Amino acid sequence: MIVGIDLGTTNSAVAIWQDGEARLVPNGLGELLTPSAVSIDRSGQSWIGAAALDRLATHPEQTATSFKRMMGTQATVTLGKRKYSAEELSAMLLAQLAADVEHATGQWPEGTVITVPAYFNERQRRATRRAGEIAGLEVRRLINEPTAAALAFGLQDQADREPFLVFDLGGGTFDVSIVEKFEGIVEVRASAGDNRLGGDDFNAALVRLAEPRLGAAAMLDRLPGDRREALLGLAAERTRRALTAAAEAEFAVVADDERAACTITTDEFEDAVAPLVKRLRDPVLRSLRDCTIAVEELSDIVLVGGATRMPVVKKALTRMFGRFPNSTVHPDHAVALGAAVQAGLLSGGEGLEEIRITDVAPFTLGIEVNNRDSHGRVLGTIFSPIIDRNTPVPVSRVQSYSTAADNQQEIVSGIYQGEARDVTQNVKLGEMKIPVPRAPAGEVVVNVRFTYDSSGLLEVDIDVPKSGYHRNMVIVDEDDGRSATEIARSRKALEALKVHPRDEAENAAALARAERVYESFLGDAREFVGRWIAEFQGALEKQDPRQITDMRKGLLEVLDNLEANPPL
Amino acid sequence: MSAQCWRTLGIKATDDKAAIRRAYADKLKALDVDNDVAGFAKLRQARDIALRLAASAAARAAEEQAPEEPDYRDDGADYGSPDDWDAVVLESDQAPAEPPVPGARTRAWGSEEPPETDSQRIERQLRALAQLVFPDGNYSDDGFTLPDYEQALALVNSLVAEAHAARLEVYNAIDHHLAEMMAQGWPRSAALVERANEEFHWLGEAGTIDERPALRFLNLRIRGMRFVENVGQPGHVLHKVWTELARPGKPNPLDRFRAKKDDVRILLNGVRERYPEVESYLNPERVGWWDRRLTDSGPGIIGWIIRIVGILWMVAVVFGALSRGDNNERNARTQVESAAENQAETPMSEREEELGLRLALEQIMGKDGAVEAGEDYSAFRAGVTTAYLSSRRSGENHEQALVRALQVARVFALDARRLAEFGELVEINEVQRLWLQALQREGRIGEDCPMRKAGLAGLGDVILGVEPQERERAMFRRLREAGLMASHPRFGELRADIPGDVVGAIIDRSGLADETVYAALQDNGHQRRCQVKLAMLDVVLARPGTVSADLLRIL
Repeated sequence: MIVGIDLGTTNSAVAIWQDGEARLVPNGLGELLTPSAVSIDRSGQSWIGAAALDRLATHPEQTATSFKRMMGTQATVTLGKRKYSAEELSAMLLAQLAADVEHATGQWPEGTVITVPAYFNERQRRATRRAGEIAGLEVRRLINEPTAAALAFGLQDQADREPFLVFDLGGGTFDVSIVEKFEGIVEVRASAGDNRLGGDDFNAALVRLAEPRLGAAAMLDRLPGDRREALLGLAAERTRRALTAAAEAEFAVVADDERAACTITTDEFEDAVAPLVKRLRDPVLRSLRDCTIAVEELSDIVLVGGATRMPVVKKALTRMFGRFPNSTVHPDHAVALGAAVQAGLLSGGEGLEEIRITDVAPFTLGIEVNNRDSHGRVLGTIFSPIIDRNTPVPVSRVQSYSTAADNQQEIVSGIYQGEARDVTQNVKLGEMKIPVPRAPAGEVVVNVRFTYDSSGLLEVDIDVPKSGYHRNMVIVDEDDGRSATEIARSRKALEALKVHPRDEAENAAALARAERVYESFLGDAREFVGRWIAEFQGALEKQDPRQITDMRKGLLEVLDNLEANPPL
Repeated sequence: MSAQCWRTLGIKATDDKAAIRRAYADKLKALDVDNDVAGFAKLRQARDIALRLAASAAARAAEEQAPEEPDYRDDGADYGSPDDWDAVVLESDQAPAEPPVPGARTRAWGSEEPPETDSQRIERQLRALAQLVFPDGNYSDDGFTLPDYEQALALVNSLVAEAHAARLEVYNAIDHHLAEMMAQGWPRSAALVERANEEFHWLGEAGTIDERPALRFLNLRIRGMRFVENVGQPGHVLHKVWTELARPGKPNPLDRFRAKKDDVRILLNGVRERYPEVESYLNPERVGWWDRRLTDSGPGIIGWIIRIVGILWMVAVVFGALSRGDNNERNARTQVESAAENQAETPMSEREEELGLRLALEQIMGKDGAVEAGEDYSAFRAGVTTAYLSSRRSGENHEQALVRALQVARVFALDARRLAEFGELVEINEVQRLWLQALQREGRIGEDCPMRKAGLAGLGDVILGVEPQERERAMFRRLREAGLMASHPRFGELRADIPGDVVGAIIDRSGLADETVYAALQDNGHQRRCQVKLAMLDVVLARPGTVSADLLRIL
């Protein structure tokens, strides 16, 4: 069985294709969404999901969130005793989701489809594959998030749809895709996006707005950096959600028996995030321009991603498009459901035989060539595109080049992905060294053919007619040589961690949440929670299952009440 | 070529969009795309062409079915002439769904103006701004007067506000129009650019491969402007070097000490690489002087000793010479006399040729065309001179030689597009359009069009009227100022894609059949090539900022 996983910046989910439909699989806490958070303490005990997110408030130096933003980089986070890479953290999350599926269906998934932002570059995609491998899953395919959402859109009737726009604003990334559906074909016409724009940035703007107002709270200054950051971030998230429903909300931070708070109005928030909202426009314009579709031709605007719930975003969209966006897909579930459809297609699920998906290359691919000025002087190098972005995939294109100097013996050129004329601003995928016969400049012609297939694999064919030289290269990550051993090492390190068995997971989550709530209140409320925690821990030690369950239920009720009606 | 697409899809030519899609879907499902990459590309392309053909056929059909204007004169009542009805129709934004009622006639006489629509208001503001940026409809490189500037800035602010609150396509349209207007109106528009850039983030597109040509031009200059502002501040690292190089006056050897050689090198290299047009703020003599100093490796201590010895030696020589002064003067005089004699013996034809050449240059470039060739003019001048003189020397008369010279000049201008910036690109293509329009007026735009053969033989034959010729001369002068006449561009073939919507517009504009237009676009020697080319120029020059720079270069 193949499963579809939405590996998001803030939340993740897993879904399967079963009995002719896509279904989300609940986690150990009965929720359909699992927060993308991992916490590991010095003893090697790990928490994944909601429990880890709660521990962000109480043990921020042991907890990591939004690590999707680190994918494709060498950045690491120190949790507990060891440094972890984004791939390893994602692998822990993936393994947890796979375990949820095993619990629900009795089978461990033999393969998985994982979603990535359409605007993820090669490095980021490879990192995602590696995460799957570390988790012990076979990654059958990576699918772009807006494409997945498009699959989920109109899943019930599978009717033909004129081009519609998928607007996917998640926790950390923003993607726009224009998709058309007809006769069982799902055709992506263009994609664009911004890898550094998401709900997290709106939170950061809110923190910048609120922090100076928390005034003379010396408490904040005394906090260590990561704790302060974590608490401010969590407060911003809470306030942002509250502002979705109200005209003003409180921004409050509690730490070390002190509480600092201020009020934020919707208008102030919207002013503070205006520059971010402006950035939403550019990818939309770019994708429309690339496929030369006019705004009025779009049949629908489909909103995906939790951040699209923000009124400020909805307002901007209504202004941009002159119409209300479509809300028939669930913004948090669509991507996972779409991934399940793709998974179903790969395993020949029932009801899916007649669907084909065609996607596009999100970035331009090309090589580095000499740049000359009007006097023929060489001014350095410039990016020469071979495959333009938003070309339907798979695609194969060839370009001819010639030598730049007399008696040149070798052409050395980098292979790049990106849109900048200056190659140093693009992502380098590889390098080619081509031996050429000696001749006057410009007389030796070299043909370079790029073939980019639907799984994102780039093949380069070089041929020099004058000398008959021919070479074929498959572009693999320069790190791939080491990666097999690295993956094994990562897997071993993760296996050494202690994971809560499923039946304990609920208890661990309840405790983590209780501790967070404890920290966020003062005075009597705090004492109250403290006593409940003590009682619950007592029950755990006695290991009486019925008592534990009862205590836990009671504790959670108490927490619910407190959070819903916080004492002033 | 279009018949091929139906074969690939496996259906008969049709206007039915749904049928085309179904055919594509069936073929696609039967393909294993990863193993047949070329087949997939062919299928996709065939479908796109088929859909485009179907769309244009549908558009034409819709036009033909437009309802006839009903004729009201039949029932004898006096409703005025049909022209009055036209006036009523033009007042509203769309064609009225029903024929106008007799009482509606009074609306045409302006009892109450219909409210201005959003697009009308925006157009009005754009037009007002264009009038300020292009006084009397002409390009001007003078700055704004203060009241004009305030008015222009207010218009820009208002347009930016409109864009911000508007739908995407309106935002897009305002973005494009302002970008083109400011690029074409530079440097007069310089004061307004930053404000527009704030809203539309033009700088965000800087450095990307599909940067719109208007923006490519503007972004360089915005960055240049910012650099000039920054470097003018006393705190800037290169401030001292900059003020020194910008100082007016002739350079003298003592200036060596006013700035460090390394700093000068960093400044000049940096400016030339990143903000070339900013170099015009500097004093060219000083820059040239420093350039020479930078390329000379410098004499060193031995060199200085040699120089001092040399100076002393020269002083001695001068003393000696002064005592022999009379002799030298006499020699010099003799030389001048013999030169004058030689001139008297110069054959008439050489001087006549020179005169003719000067006339030809003035004819082509305008009054300062015959000015002595500087480095910025060398290649062009050489080419035109050679053409003129070799024609005269092979026995042709002045008019014939002028034709040859003009041909070379015009071919040069077309070639210069390879390296030209946006403003010049548009200007060269505008002049090219003038040539085609002149040919059209003479009825020479069909098979006998001189611009359709390779080598553009006969381009010199195209005779322009007084105003277009002035425009051509202005273009040549502008190319010279832009430094595009200093050398021959010499790169390989350029190719560009013509976007589908542009092709559609060309088909409409030229009134020719689709297949004819496709064929003419791809074949240089096609009999309708010049007609299609004129249509293409009309279409592209209406919105030059929306097509790729490559397309403007090969038009």
